[in-house]
Amino acid sequence: MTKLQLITKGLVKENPTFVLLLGMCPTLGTTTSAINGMSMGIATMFVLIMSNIVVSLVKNVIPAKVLIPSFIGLIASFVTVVQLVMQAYVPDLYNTLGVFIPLIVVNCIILGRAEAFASKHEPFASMLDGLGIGLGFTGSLTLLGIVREVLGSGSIFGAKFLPAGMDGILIFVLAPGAFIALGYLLVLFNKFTARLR
Amino acid sequence: MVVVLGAITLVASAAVGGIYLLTKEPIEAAQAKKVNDAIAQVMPEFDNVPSAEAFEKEADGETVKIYPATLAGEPVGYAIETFSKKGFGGNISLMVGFLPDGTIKDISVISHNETPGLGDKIQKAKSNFAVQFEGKNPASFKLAVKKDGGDVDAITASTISSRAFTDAVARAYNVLLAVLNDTKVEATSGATAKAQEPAEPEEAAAPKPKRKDKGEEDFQFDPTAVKGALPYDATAGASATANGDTATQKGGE
Amino acid sequence: MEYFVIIISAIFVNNIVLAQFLGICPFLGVSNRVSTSLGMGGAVTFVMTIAALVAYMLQYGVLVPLGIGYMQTIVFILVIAALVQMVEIVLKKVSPALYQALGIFLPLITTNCAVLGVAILLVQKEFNLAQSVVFSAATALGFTLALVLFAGLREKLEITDVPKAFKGVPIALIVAGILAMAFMGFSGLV
Repeated sequence: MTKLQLITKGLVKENPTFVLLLGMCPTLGTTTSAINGMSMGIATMFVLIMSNIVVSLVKNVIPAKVLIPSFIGLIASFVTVVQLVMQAYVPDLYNTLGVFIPLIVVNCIILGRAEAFASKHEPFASMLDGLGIGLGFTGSLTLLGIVREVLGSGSIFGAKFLPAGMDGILIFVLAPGAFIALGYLLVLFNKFTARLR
Repeated sequence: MVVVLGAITLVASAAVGGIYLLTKEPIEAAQAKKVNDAIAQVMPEFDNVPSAEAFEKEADGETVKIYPATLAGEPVGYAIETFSKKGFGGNISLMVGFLPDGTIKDISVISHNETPGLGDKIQKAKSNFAVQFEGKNPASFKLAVKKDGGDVDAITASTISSRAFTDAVARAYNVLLAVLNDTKVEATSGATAKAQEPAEPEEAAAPKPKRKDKGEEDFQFDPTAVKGALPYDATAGASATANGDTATQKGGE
Repeated sequence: MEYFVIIISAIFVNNIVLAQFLGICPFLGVSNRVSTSLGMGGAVTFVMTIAALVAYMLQYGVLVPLGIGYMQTIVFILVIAALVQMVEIVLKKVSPALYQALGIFLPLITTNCAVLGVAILLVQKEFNLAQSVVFSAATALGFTLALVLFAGLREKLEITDVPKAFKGVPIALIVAGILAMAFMGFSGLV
């Protein structure tokens, strides 16, 4: 697998949201707007890249029996770093994303990549893998965020395009809309990839 | 293997501790900035540092911070950091700015967890809901949503958030009354503040004769409690809080 | 009354799966049969309640007194992981029957974000000990309810002729959306 493939595979072929169906909680929970979805994706990507690099560096030192607990500890540390940095520099965003930031710890994508990829590959390749999967995750969350924001609030990245006094279809910003929008996006994704094959 | 796990944990926590020390100041600065921005938004022009002169009052079991603003030594208003626990998604924290006569200058939402698209309309950026409070004096403007017999127009489909917002403002007003009278804060029940005696700032400083409000049967007046600086009779409002119709407000949604 | 509100709110109004989006992975993964979803629900209820108790004691017994509140995420997840292991071992020894019923679900729970989520939420909501335990047990019941209802729907879905592109997860998500809509009807309750 070439370096470029490592990065691009996460976008479509191994897209964590649409193909692997991992990390569903933040996918549904934080995509009330495009900005929120994208920020969540970027925060997750940071943790993913860092944990991939470090896991790949220490993989030979850790005995197999405590592999998973060590990984969890490392991931939790990076998540805490993200929490602290966000509180310091983007406190409003931190409040909006709320409980989903500490919950990056239990995002299956991160532990999954640490185990399946980073513990078997070199640091540089692991970093690219984290970047690729992270970009795929960020892309999916942003896409879902755009769909929900356009339908639900009638705006894109906070810029309202509906005339004043007109609102979007509110249900798409609320909980049911998250499930339904993701369901239909998956259908479109399946249609699209089936045609490619 | 325990050693390795211990070592990893140790290194990781040391690193996190380091980052914590690095971000500690920016986090505090960010929080202070948020409060200061809110004060600046809800207060008229002032030249002191309200956060340096802040003091606290006990209200409904929590401490509420009061930030007095002065211009050339004269008090121009009080910014009160108030809360409500009745929000749909949890606590709502507001900064309510009062002029010295009790008129609401402006309200800023500090933090909330209301539903996007519904309850988050309590923010001025999202809808005009909060604007209706501006320039109103809770003495004549009943702090309860219209459904509960008050004067506040609730956000469509977000009565709970509107109630919580109103509840927080009512709590701030009770704190203000307590500050002006140097008494304890009355409990704020439901999203209601009872109709207070209408304030008439032009009659400032003079203790006024007792006037009876339509809705207030058990109205009490205690001239001795009125401070000289007080432009209207705040004690009356504070003591008239425990009225009968609170029970009907509580159930609701 | 106060506890009643917490319980109703946690089970119906702010259902952890359908309104708060926590625990979606087991919700989609283990909801093919009503019987398995009942087992998963039981295991989650068990672990979540104990985890809430432990998280509360850690937060107010260790983290706050030491002034290291920022270590919350690390401490909570490691303790929950250890706790799940311990529950597994103890259950095997003490009650083999219960272990038979819940055992295979236990390892899945460590990465169930609902457990960590509830631990963090109860600190955020500033609950006291009794409230925390009631809140987490009720939340777990809400999780079980959503899971079992959803499993019942999916059993029907399996014998339904859905368009090819909708098969599997997409139609499940859309059905979950409709279920969430139904749960929104509870929002006036509390």
